[in-house]
Amino acid sequence: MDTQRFELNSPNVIGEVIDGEVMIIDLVGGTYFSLAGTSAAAWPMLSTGVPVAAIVDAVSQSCSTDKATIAEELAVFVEALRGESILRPVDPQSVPAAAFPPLPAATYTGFTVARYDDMRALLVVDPVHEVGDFGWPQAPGSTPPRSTE
Amino acid sequence: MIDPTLARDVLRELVVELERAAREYPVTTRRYRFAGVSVAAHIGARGNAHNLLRAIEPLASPDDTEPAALSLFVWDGLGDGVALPESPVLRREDAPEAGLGGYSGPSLRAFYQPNAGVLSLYDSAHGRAHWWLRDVATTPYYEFAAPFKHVLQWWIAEQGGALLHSAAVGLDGNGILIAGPSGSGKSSTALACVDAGFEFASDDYVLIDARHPPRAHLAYATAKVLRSSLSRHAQYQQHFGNLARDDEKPMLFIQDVAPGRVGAPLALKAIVLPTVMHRVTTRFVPISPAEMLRALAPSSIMLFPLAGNAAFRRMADLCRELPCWRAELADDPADVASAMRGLLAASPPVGAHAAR
Repeated sequence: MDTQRFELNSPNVIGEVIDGEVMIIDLVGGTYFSLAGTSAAAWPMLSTGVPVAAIVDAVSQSCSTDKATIAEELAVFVEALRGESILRPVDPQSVPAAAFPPLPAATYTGFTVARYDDMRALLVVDPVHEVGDFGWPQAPGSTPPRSTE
Repeated sequence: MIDPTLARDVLRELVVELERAAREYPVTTRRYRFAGVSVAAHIGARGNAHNLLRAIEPLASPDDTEPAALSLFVWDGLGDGVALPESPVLRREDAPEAGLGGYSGPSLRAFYQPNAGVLSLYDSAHGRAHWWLRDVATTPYYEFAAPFKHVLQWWIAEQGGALLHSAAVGLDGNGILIAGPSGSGKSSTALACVDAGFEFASDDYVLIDARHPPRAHLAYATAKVLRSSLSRHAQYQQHFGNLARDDEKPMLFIQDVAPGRVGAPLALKAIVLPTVMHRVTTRFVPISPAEMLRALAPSSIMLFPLAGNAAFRRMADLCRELPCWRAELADDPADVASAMRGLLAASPPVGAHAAR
């Protein structure tokens, strides 16, 4: 895990940091996610190919928390994000990400992700927005649109 | 799943066919201004597609001599005699599981709605687009409410703006963006404001330009409300259409109820997220930019799945740039409008907010 690197699974997933939080939208699955606290602080590194070990170091220095705890919780977090197809592994042969400045001092809040899937339900009940009438957004269980760009 | 290469090939074939129609079929040209930019709509002259464009009537600019930034062809497939090529990805019975659905390529964007029988196609390299309807007579009413919205969102994104799933109203050229999912109170709030003399820019889809501070522009002069809230707008009853069908939202054209107060750009001062609270008086509670983005972005992005990252970034910019409020609504529309008037009057210059 230590040397593994990950990136945002674009273009199917898009993410934006705002006001110390991160909002992520899965365009294929129709769900969205938010990260806060330590998860949000680590996100710019985690989503741009910084090695996991370097992220553990940065968070440990920022939060004065032991590396073993951070590494263990970060590994679970990464698996959760991979399970949601938010992150994908970076080719080990690719050029590593540029160095990030140290994270500001903060309280360690652990790594969590909030998942929202209410949008599809809202769309399904709103015929004005054509749900079920075309390729996307699809009725539950159907196939998502393709983006080849 | 359709092979992307096959989708691309079908798209090329569609472009050839529709461009051939553009050269050979009679059209009537009308000029409009969207977000201040000149657009030429070439409407098939033998069909009935012109009947679908009332929603953009206030944007008409008949004497416009400026070269059009976008040439949009509007076809009534049956009436104009413009048929799509036979292809498995365009068959109704195969979609959406194997249909064309959404397609995004380097310069071509396409979106196919098989049941509605609507194809939207945008060629950004040549500034040309086609909005093809299988048969205007059977086209769903929501296409009347927001014609060629997919073309519009692809095009405005290239200008640095965005088409948002939001309402917008204002006074004296200043405006408030009203965000939130369907059923949250956007339309009712907008109509309450229109009734109180506000200018109207949107009840559902609004164009945001690339300026800082941002401006909201009319996209469609339509307002739709839940059937259950129709009684709140009894004064407009004679103007509402779709009253006979339970599966359609009642809809009216704003130019019929507020002539002269629709179409002007609004310099945005704030974003509100309405919440139906049945309060005696409407109250505004500050919320974080992140909370507002959670309300604003998912429905806008998911209704326009090929809008991409640029639109998401523009939405995040809006939430950073403008004060964000949750509007805890009263039941009385006059109170809602009065509170919106007060918020607009009290909103500082946008630069002052951004500098905080």
